[in-house]
Amino acid sequence: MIIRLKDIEKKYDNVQAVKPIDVTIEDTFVTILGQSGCGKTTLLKMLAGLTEPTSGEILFDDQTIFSKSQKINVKPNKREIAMVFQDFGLWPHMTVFENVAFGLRGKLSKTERADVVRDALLKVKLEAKASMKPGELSGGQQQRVALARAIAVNPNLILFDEALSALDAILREQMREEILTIVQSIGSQAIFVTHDQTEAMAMSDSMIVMDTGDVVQTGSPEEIYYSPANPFVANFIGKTNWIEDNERMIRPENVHLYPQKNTTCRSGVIKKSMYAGDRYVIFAETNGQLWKFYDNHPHQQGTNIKLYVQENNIHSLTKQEA
Amino acid sequence: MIVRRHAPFTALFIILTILAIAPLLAVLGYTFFENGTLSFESLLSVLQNNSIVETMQNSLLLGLYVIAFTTCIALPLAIIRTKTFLVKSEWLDIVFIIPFMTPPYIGSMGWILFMQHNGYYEQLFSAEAPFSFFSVAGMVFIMSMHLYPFLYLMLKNALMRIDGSFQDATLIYGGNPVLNWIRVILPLLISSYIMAALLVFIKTLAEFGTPVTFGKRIGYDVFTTEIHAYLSRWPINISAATSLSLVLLTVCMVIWYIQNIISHKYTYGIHSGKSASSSQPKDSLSIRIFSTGYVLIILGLSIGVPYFSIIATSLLKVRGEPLSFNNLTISHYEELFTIGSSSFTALMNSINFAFVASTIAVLIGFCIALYVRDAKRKPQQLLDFTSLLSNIIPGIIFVVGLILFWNAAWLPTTVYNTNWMPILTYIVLFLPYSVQYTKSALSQLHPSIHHSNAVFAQNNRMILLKVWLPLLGQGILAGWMMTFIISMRELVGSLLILPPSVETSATFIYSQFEQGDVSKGMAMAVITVLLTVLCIFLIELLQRKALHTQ
Repeated sequence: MIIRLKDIEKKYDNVQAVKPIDVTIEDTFVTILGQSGCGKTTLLKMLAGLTEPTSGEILFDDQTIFSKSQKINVKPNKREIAMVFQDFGLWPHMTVFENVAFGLRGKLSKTERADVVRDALLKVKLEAKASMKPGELSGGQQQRVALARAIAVNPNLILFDEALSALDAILREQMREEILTIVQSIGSQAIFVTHDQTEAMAMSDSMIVMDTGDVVQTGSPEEIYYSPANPFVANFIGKTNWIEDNERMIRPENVHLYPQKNTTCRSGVIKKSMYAGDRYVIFAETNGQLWKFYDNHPHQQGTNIKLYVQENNIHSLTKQEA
Repeated sequence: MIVRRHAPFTALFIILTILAIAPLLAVLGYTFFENGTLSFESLLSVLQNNSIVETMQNSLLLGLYVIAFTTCIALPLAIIRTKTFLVKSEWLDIVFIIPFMTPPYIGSMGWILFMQHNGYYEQLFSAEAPFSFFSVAGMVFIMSMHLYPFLYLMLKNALMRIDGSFQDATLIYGGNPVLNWIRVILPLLISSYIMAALLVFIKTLAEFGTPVTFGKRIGYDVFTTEIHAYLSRWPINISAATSLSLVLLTVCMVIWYIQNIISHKYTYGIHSGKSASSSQPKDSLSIRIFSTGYVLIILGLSIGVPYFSIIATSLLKVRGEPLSFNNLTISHYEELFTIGSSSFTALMNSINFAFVASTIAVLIGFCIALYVRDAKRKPQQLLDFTSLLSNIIPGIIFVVGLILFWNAAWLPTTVYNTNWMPILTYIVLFLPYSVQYTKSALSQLHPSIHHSNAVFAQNNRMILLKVWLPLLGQGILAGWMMTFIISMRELVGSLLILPPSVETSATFIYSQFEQGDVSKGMAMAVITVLLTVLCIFLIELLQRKALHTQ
């Protein structure tokens, strides 16, 4: 399905929550990444039909889902979408089974519903918990129920609103994989809102980076990491070392301690070493800038070192910004 | 599409306009318009009237006295409940609600029966009271005994919130405990206190039951009794009543406005993440004795004495003769439950009116609460404010307005002089309860429930039947019971708007007490308070169960 947003914008009174946005989404798994308050959740809610855009159009393939000028606003339950919320949004008085079956009421018969629900619960490995209430489950299990509820309705598109933020780090990583596998297995598209860059990079085919209500860059995770469109994106996604003019930067993994082909050399002083488990992040001052690079052992504070960088790994930000 | 989208708002707003706004406009119109032209004459003549100044002074002074006295009772109580071994006694709070929920006219009748000449005090102690109870001080005392639980609960909740990590931080960074208390706890407490005190002030101004029973005896007239007198005593003077209502309305609005400013400016986010340390305080014996004694004395004065008086009186065979087993009878109760007796009819009227009124109020309140949600958008805020108007505006003003509005000549049809009039009045007066109970049930749910419904439910009927009713049912039922129980014993509206020869339990109690068989009236009062106490416990049970299932 091709999702087109044409000049979609949202104003609350005089506050511009989302500036006019023009984006086409074709990839299967897309993340919207940004800091809190950048308008990413508002954008997602507009896609879901939970928030009405102030102006613009939304199209799913060639079907208009929302259009201010034509006064079209398809209700959320008619958009053939599903949604997974940060606080799960499960109905506390219904069992797991009833929660998952709810979206199928009025569409399928009782026996058909039972089959679909069982299938969905099987996919999220919760078939044993069908008769429990959400309150009796752990956070991770509740989020699986929410996921089962989403896939049960066989949606064209699943929207995830900070779906993993409420979970702890280990569970979060585990769920990333599961979500990817499950979404692929039912052949649905997914849009995933998050403020976590590693999550966004790990999960998505393409990313939409937002800042203060605006889309600042779209592209594959690799494109965005190696060719950030502006300093905000460069700083927000991954670590950056700035060259003196503050218009060019290089990623820490491209800073070497030994000369290689076509490298230029600069000297620096070690400031500190931080252990990151699989390696050390070393901070060094060079030409008035604080740089980061990686090594597999710590360096003594105050020692002078030589850093080698390849010119072609230096990314210039001025070109794209213009 | 525009029309359809705004339909819920329009419908609810029209209902609220007819219920609450129209009567207020009627009061304004009657005061300021004479034969179609703007005129300030009636308001000015009322303001120039000497007795008005006195009434105003009486009301405002009464409010201040009651604030002072309720503070003296409630602050120690709140401290005892949060700092001593009584901190675990949650059930005490339910008991403290009882005096607040007891109709004030019944409480004050209990005290009159107790303290009057030849009353129970003289019988029990075989001596005259050493002081004159029938004075302003007595009135302040009775009203404080009714209102202190309100102040107490607000102070207690504020103190509870201040505990926890705030407390720990003060222990680490602070010095002497008394100084800590003054520097940290007191400033955090003061905004809650001022807000609660201003509400006590408004409630005192709006109070009718005690002034009309006790105040009249000592010749202490206040706003509410004066308005009532203008409307019920010959010569009837409607414009004086409306003018006086406007003055009262203005005072309440000003106080409410001040209260709003304070709550916006000086309320701190004093929710410290972790709840209070659960370690049981180890109190010395003297503190234990003192706090238990204090709680018992307050409960004895606010529940014991008035309840004793009304129960004793309801059981008396011959009034005037002393309390003894030979002089006891249950004949007043037998009469009360004899089908066809005037008291039975009055009780049934009350129950019927209250049943219909609370059912309708709950329906409207449910729709409003669902529409208002978190009151983020302007129409939601408007509806929220309108539906809660009768919380800040004294009931008697609405009653005056309802009388004027439903008597207007241009109305094609009217409910005035029918049984719908009291029902309508109760709905207007007590709609805030059903709105607030549903809202609080809603607020306990995750905000994304609304989104879940929108995305997954196939139609609105399903959302209503499968989500809202099972989830909010207990809150709605609690709101219904609350509305029912306070409608059932409402006095001032009933006195003024009941159709001729129709009585409710409240007017029955009042007329029997003023000029009739006091014992009969008190039997009805006992039934009323029994129903009230029963409802308090049921509501509490429902609320706890609702919390438990979440």
